[in-house]
Amino acid sequence: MPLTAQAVLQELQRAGIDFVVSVPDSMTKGLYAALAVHKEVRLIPVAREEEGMGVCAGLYVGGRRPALLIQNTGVFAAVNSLRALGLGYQVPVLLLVGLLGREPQVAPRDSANPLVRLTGPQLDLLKIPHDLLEDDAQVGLVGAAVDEAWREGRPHAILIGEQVK
Amino acid sequence: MSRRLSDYLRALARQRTDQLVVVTMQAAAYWPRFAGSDLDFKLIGCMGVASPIGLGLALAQPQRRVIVCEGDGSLLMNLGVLATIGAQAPENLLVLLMDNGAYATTGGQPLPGAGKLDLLAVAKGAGISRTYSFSDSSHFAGQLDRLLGSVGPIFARLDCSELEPFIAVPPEPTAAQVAVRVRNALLGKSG
Repeated sequence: MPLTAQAVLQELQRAGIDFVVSVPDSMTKGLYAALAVHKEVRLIPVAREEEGMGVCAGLYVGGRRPALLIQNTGVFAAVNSLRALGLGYQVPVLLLVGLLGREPQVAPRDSANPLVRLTGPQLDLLKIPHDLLEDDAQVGLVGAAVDEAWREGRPHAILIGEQVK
Repeated sequence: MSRRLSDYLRALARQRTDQLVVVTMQAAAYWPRFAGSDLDFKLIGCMGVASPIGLGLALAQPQRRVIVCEGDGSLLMNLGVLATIGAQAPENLLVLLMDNGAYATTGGQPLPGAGKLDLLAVAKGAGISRTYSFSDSSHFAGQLDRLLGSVGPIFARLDCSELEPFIAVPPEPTAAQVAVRVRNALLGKSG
């Protein structure tokens, strides 16, 4: 089964996500395009992932349910704000992370590409739980991640390992 | 006439009513001397995200005026946020740039470009059309009422070149307490 923007978006809405803050990513560009024309979930394009995490923190403290849609490169760019705002200020955010460079059928931890291989361990270091999403059948992981993030008061990441159609 | 950070903050504290105030760097250290509100969002340990957080708050709470007391070194870390603010154009956001050309919290080292860097021009270039510059805290105090009542986004540069002694940000409340307190105050929940 493919991974579709429609299924992910429907799940985001079901989970109450009302803002998606994003630096575009090639794996998830289908989702970005759907969000750009969506009437209810608001897309906020930002220039840098660290900045995006700040915007998400403000949205959360202001009573909204934000997600940060970025590339795995952006996880590394956002580390200090993920640490400070995620762990320090205990801000729950859904991280939707495109796994740029992911080889088909290869578990991310076994990837020859350090960018893919180290994304999970980098999140582990920040105590941010993460799940791998590869097809529509697993889309419930997204809602579960939101529930857990808001319950625990910390970010939760969904690693998107397939091109979103 | 003064170009001291603390004098600008004192003026802001006097005229502030129900606005949410985000403070970072030395503004976070000096602000509690003049103000104490559940709507004070103190930032510590995350230089560079004050304006992004203020933007998120302004988008989340369009009926609430949000004031960010930003540092010039801090803004320089995520300068792209000015483009985001220009694009989103939240009417309720006021960014006050505490401009001293230095990293005051780490010993006063000059910023890259100090003396040449014009962050007001950068803000204008990013599409924030309402920009102001103040080089005297009493002039700022006289104009603040108008700034607080005007449609944003507004970016105001405050010349804070009269450096004051470094002071530490009070450890209490903690980061987690600040987030809960501000959120509860905004959402009308008790403690």
